Amino acid sequence: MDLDGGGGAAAGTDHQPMPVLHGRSNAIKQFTQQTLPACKPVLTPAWVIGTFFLMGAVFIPVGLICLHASQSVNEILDRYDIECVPDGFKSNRVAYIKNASIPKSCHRYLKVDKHMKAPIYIYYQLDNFYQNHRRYVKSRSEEQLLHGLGYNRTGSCEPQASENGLPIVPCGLVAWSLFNDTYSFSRGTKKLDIERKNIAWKSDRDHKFGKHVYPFNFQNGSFIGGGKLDTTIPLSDQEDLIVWMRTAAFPSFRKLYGRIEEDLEEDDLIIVHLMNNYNTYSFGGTKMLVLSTSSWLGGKNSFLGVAYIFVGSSSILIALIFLLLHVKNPRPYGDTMYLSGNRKDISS
Amino acid sequence: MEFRRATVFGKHYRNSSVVDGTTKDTETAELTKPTPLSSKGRKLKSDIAVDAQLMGLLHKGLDGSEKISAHEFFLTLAACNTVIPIPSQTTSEGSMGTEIHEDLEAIDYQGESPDEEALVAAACAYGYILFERTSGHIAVDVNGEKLRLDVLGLHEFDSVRKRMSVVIRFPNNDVKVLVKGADTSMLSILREDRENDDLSLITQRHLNEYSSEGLRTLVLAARDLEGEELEEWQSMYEDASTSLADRSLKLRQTASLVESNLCLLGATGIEDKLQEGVPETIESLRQAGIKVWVLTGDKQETAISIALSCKLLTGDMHQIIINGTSESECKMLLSEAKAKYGVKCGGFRTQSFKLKKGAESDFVDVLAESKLSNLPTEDDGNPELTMGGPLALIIDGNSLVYILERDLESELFDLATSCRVVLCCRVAPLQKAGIVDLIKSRTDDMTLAIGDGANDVSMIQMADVGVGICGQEGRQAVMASDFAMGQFRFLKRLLLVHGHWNYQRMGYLVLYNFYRNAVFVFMLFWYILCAAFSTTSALTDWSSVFYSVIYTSIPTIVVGIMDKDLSHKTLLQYPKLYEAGHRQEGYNSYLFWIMMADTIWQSLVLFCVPRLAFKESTIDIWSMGSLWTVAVVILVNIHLAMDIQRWVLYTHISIWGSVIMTYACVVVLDSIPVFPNYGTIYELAKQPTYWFSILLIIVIALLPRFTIKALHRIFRPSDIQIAREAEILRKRRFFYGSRLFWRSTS
Repeated sequence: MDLDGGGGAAAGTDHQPMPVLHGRSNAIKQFTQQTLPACKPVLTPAWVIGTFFLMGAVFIPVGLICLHASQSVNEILDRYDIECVPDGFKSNRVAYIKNASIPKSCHRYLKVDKHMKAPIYIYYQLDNFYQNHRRYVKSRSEEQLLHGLGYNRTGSCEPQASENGLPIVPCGLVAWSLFNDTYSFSRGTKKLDIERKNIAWKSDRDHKFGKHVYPFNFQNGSFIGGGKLDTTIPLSDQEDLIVWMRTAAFPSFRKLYGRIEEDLEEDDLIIVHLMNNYNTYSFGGTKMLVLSTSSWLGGKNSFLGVAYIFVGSSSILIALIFLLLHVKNPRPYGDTMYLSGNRKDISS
Repeated sequence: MEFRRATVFGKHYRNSSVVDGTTKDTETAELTKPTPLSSKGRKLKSDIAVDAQLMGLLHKGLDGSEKISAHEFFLTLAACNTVIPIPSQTTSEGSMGTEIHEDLEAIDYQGESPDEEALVAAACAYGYILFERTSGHIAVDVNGEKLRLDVLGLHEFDSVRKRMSVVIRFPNNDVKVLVKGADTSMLSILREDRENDDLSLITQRHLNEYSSEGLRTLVLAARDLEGEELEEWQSMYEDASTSLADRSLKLRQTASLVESNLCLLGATGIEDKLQEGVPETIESLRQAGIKVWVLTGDKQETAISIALSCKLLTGDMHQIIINGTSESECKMLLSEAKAKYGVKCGGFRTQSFKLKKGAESDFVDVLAESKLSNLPTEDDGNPELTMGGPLALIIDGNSLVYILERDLESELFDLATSCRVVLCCRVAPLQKAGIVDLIKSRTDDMTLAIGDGANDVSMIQMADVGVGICGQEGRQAVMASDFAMGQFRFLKRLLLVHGHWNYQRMGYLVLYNFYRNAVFVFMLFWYILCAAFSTTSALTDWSSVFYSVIYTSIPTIVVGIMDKDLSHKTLLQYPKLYEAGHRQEGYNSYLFWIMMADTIWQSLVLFCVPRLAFKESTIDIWSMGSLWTVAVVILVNIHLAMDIQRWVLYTHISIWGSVIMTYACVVVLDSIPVFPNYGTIYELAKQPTYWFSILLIIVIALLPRFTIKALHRIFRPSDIQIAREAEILRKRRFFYGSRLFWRSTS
């Protein structure tokens, strides 16, 4: 690192005394003559090796902490979309799910392996569901969600903009495909309370979904997509819808269903009463119920921890290689004898 | 431009050099001081040294052919030109003012070329003062006696005839034609009798002396015109000068009528001074691997002498001189030279291509100083085909006529490219362009032509880079040029410093801009693969637009303007550093593909790290887009920051400002409720995973690049890198040194 002397008499061979300039004109002159004070970093061996060691020293501990955080999270996963189909319909699941007369209730038993500390988050996980498809993502109307029927330019919602000549609120494919499996839990004979409020972002509830906008003409068509909405509750309180309408980034995603506000003990047996309403069978998707605790880093994902440790240790390795190479094969710093013109005979 | 020598009537005179004390002239002592010019109170603005002997001859008063010749000699100098005298009143001053009247008239001459001005000024110094010129007559003050001469016709100089002439009528109705021109064109049109032949021989000997001293020579001649001949000429001239078609051809024919059978008066030698710093500049350019060729209109001897004086030619060079007068002779000379020095036909090209593989060489045609010389240049990667010292090819305009118009071009090319120096003399303006074209069309090398005169215009336009010197010879060259400069020596700075800087910046920025856009596009592309191939963009539309316009554009501009790898001092000190450009170190296909591979790696890291870090999580598409927007902007800016060689305040502002600006824009965009991404960044920033992911992206993406760069810099440094280290080391020593000094003195 070195500082380039700033306003020194600049150009070339002739060193005429420069008139002393002040302030603005001096700054302009320094700019146009490119003599601004400058720092010129050079990658010296010390810097490079030091940087790599430093990276190793920072990344490995960070990685360990991340990994530890991830390890401390307990998860119970249960894929139920196949098990919950009655035996007679195993071969034709689509017919089962489309037939409204067949009861959809289903029971699942979950065993708690380890003590789980409240709050325990309940997620449903869908796979192979492309909520990020271009047409799906765009099929919604922000203005309508906020202003309701007062807003009628809902062209973006096609093909779910209107039904029977009346507009749909909330319109669009995203709302139409609302997830509608429901879960309730009991431990032994005692029902577990699920907190279903505050599962959506506050900003969405307060500013994106209207407080006076009520569902209208929703899911009234012949082609039913997903869940129905209670027309007496304004959209800003329909938290399942709000969560659903934050479309997922990847085809395999989780969405928050609710929270269990009490600890689950080791070897507890949780009975899940669920309504298997949602049709993932027609596109080969899967449904999963997830109970998970959380750490400061979020859910269970060891990627960050492993990646940090990996990067940190490779940095140390690279630093050692550099050190070895440098000790075995040192090059004097800034020795102009190493210029190619000096190494060979000057040919011209 | 200074009048130095004259030979009048076979007698040699040299001017003193009182004005220029540094000249080599040893005989100054016997020469007089410049005489105060005329009692009439006219004087030239600058003083010119005169030869006492010649002055004496003019004032002797006795008749005789020698005196008449001298008289006509100076009359020709004063009359046969297109110079316009500009009288200007000056107040008397100094020692002269004490004895001379108040209305001292100073005369300033303005001519087409500095040569003419120098000749008229010389005539003036010897008492033949041109003080008035109108379209019909000129007035010359001959030693105080006013002489009004009617100009009947004027045949202007052209590059075919290489001479000019005027037909003037004296007050006593004598009509004379006065001619001046280049020796080759003049000697053939002299009257053929014994006296004139002898004179011509002596004069030629003097001319050779002059030109080997590096002087530019002109021959003057005159004859009377009378009777029928005059009438014939007059009618023809009238006809030609009013003709609408082929006027120049007709005028040329008319000129040939009178420009014949002339009586030799004498010859002049004018010194064309080399500009300051020419030898050093040429030496630097040569070290920089630039081949310098001189294309000049001067005589061969003059050209060689000038080339020697500017160290273009050196004693250890083998000079190959090609002076053919016919096609076959040229062919023979060329093949002889090739055989002798082992230049292989056509073999040179393949050989040189092998040697330079991927390297571009650089030709610069340079027209040196106020000389009509110009020097093309080329990479020095050529094999030295010599049997000892380097080769120098000297070729004249006549031979070039045969060579360039026939199939000998390739032979010349083979020979010329294996020579270190090529000197073309007596070259016509179009031939200069032809030579530049020879190199341009046969190699991938870059050519630069530098010149100051109107005769360099075609060459300047033909070359890849044209440089004009604004000098005494008018502005045509400057107007036709890409770059204009005041002196030849600035060429060194232009190429070695500014050329180098611009090359480095340009090369880097081309790569960087490819990278900057490709990494963004690839990142979007990978996402499409996991969005059911439906071209969804996770980024908001605004972020996609702002990426190029706001988020990443300003650092590019600032680096393009401010970044410098080396200081100008270092670059001038080691001209060899310029060869980085010849070797295409800044931008080549290898670098391009390496950079592309790096781009794909970086874009994959950009895509995969968040993909894995947020695997099976609740993350939504806008949060993902927001993360990617910020990550890619930080990534490309840090990437750029890693390659910046000179950090000034503006660089810091632009780089870190861009990142801050991006965050600001993201925050603003996420604060507008009608956007689906409303509130995203606020929720996202609460998650530590978000910050850890960005840090991880930056580090993993740049790790390979940084490692390879560090390996190169430390263990396989380029010349530029070493020079840079040396520069910083030197400065540090200076810095600490001055601190120590300061401490010890205080």
